[in-house]
Amino acid sequence: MGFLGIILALTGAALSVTLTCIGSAKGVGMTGEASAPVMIDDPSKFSKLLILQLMPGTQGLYGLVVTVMVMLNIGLLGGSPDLSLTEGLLYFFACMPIAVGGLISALMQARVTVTGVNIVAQKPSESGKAIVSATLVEFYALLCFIASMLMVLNINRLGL
Amino acid sequence: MKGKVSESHYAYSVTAARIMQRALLSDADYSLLISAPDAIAALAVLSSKGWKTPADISLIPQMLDDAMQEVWDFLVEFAPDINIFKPFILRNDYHNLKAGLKCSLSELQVDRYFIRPALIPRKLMKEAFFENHFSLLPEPFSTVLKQAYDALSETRDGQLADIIIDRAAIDGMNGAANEVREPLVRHIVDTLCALSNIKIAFRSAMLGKNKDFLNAAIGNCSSLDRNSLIESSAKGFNELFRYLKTTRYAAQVDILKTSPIDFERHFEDRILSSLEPIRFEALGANPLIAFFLFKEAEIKNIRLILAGKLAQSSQEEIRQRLRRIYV
Repeated sequence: MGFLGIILALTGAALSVTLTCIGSAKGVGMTGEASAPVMIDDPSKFSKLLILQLMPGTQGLYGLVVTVMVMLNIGLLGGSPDLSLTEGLLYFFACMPIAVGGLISALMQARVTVTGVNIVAQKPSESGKAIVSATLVEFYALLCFIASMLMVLNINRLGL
Repeated sequence: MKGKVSESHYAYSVTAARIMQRALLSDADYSLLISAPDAIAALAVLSSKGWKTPADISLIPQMLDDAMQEVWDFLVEFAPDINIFKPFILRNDYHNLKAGLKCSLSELQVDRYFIRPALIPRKLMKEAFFENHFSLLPEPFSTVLKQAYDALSETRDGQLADIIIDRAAIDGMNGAANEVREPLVRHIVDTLCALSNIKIAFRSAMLGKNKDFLNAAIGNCSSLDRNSLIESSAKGFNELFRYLKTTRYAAQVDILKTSPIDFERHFEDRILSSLEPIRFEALGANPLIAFFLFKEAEIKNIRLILAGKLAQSSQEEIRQRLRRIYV
């Protein structure tokens, strides 16, 4: 039983980092692609573009943090891992907010940051607004991250 | 039909197009051009806006041709799927077919009448004409050219040859658009084909052409019922206008009644204005299509302004002919 619980918990942890990193890689890649012509045209816009390009990358980081927290909690990074099936299932579901929310928010944020790159290209003075718009999407990735973290950190308190 | 390229693949090309869009002429630039005292002064205005202008006004067509080719080269290099532009470029190929055919049977210099960009290289087109070796051209161009050439050499009727090529152009553009999975391309090409068909129907009604002629001349397009257009045009203006009032082009019928030139301009403006919301899109093929068509309209406007200056037309006359601008 303990073995199945660990498999479930690790599946959740793996999905948490994999899906968010897929979203982030796609988002950062898209924004980078869109930024390249602007940088060729005017290299001085690099810093504004870098901020936009980094924004969809944060979801991958959130996913990794949740993964590490799961591994710590189940004793995989020290201690003896022993998990019931129910606990494993709980960890699996606790990972889902950031896994799914992180993936979707990274892709959605990438669309906003690519639009932001277009703003930087055409009206550099308005680049702050582009960053604010992308930050609004970040907020929802953050909510997913907080939800996952709270769940992962509190599963032990259930005393299962 | 080929698969649609994912819109995320357009990130690079759309931003690159946005950067090029900044160089499009603004309202103020057009005002400067129109108020220039002559063509030389207008060229100086263009030069100040980054255009590579010639010292000799006889090279103006070459300048405009180069400008359009530059846009095409950009799209070939950066657009993830260049096939979406094929229906628009086909127009130029069919134009070149007509120009080449007429020049090959006259003393005219063909290079002056060929336009770019085109799918068929200029060299190949010239070889096909001057060696009378039409099969050098890819299908359907070789067949169309053979038909038009036979019609012209047998009947000496230039209009008949034009009709054969124009009809092939309408059907070719429609066919190419149907192979593209971009609704915007289909919509615009359909509107352009409808414009060509309405112009043919209008001229035919004016000249009292019969149904056989109209059957040969009018092509397919989904926004007009071909049979109704032929029937109504054969019966004369009133019937034609009555039919057009039942189509989605009803609002333009009154303009057609008063001025076919204004009708064409209004039609093209309608296409261009439908593209304006696309300027805010950051991904997908639509912004590139819009950029291409607005650049084409800009070049057409500059051609009209410079031609107007050379003909010493008034500012008001020039302004009336201009297409909608995109800034």
